[in-house]
Amino acid sequence: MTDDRLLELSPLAALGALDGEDRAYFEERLAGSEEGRHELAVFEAVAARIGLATPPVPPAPGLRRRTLAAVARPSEPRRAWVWPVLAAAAALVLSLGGLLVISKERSESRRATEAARAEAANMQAQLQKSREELDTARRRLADEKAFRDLLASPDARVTSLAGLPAAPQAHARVVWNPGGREAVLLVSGLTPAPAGKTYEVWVISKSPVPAGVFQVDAEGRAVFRLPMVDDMAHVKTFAVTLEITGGVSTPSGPMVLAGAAS
Amino acid sequence: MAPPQAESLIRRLITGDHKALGEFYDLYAGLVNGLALRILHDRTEAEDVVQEVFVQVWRQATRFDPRRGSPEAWVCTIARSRALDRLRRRTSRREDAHTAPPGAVALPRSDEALAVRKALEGLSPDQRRALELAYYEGLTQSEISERLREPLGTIKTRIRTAMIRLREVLGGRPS
Repeated sequence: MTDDRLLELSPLAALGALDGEDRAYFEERLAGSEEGRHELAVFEAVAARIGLATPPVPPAPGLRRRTLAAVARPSEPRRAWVWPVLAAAAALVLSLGGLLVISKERSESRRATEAARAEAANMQAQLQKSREELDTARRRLADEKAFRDLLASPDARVTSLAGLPAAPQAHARVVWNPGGREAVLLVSGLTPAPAGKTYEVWVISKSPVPAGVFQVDAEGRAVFRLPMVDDMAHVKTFAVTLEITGGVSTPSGPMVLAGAAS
Repeated sequence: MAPPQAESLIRRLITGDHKALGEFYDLYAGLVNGLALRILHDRTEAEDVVQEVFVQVWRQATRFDPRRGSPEAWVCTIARSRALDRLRRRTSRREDAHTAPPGAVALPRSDEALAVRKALEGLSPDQRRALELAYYEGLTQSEISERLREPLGTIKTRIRTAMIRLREVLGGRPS
């Protein structure tokens, strides 16, 4: 059903100009309206471009150097070590059963690193194959960078998801940070979705909020960074269902994984 | 259109390529500084915003989503948000938002920027004024209604109509 008031408010919401009852109404109804979320996204894209009309003004000459100095140590190229380290971290969480193990079992860690190195080399070879594969890997790298940032966060939490009868071999973990609203899902043992289907993540507090769709690789694994979900601080359950390609706004397919965020 | 190298620069930023940040800065520092100056009317604060924006771009390059818009629109969104945060922290708003920022000069503009400028010029002065109060001063609909001494319903319609017009002229990105 079309919610005319919600749609009328979306251009104002995209500018952050709502207040009072209108804002309360918009925030309450948005989650339940796919049409509303689409309109908001379209108007946000319009709003994002308004600033382009502002005349550019060159900043002070010294600012470039100060800005670049503020961000990083260029002597430490991340490109070289990022793959093995991230792959090792991901492999550890999947195979060794948790974050504590990472800090305790150093020799295990070394072996896993070698295994992960081999895996990374394998991936590098695949990268050459096609542009499409390269883009997939880049997204994955971005997800694994988010995962590494999460691991470094002192209040990171880990929730285990068990395979349900529809996918008894599957298991997964969500590493998440209630304060930072960041979460990364690590899946293994999940059968690749059949044609026309995709896996969809749900963050459930009061009701299920869609948190993105993902596919697993041929080995049944995936590393997936969840989009920002406002309810993350109050999440009670993480779940994964099998849905039609593109995902849906309320879960309708079989649930394959679920776990309580204690 | 955004400079074709911008999206590949973002991919390099994601891999931690420090040099790419310098190139990204060269492309967009003028835009960010101009926008921050327009919002804050303070050269020092605007340059603080420039620094914050590029640090954020470096740390959050993975959040750029090409389906939602161009890199320059993404940078604008970050810059506006940072500058408005500072504006709101000030105890009193400055009332000189109409004056051109100091030091504005004609720099090369992207096709996209020129199209947006033309689209804004196509709005009625009333529509543009209300839209600018929302965009550059971060005012809510009620605050704009108070500032312009016009009924709330009029202001809401005016902004909505302006946004729909921009959407028609510029096209909405997400499909």
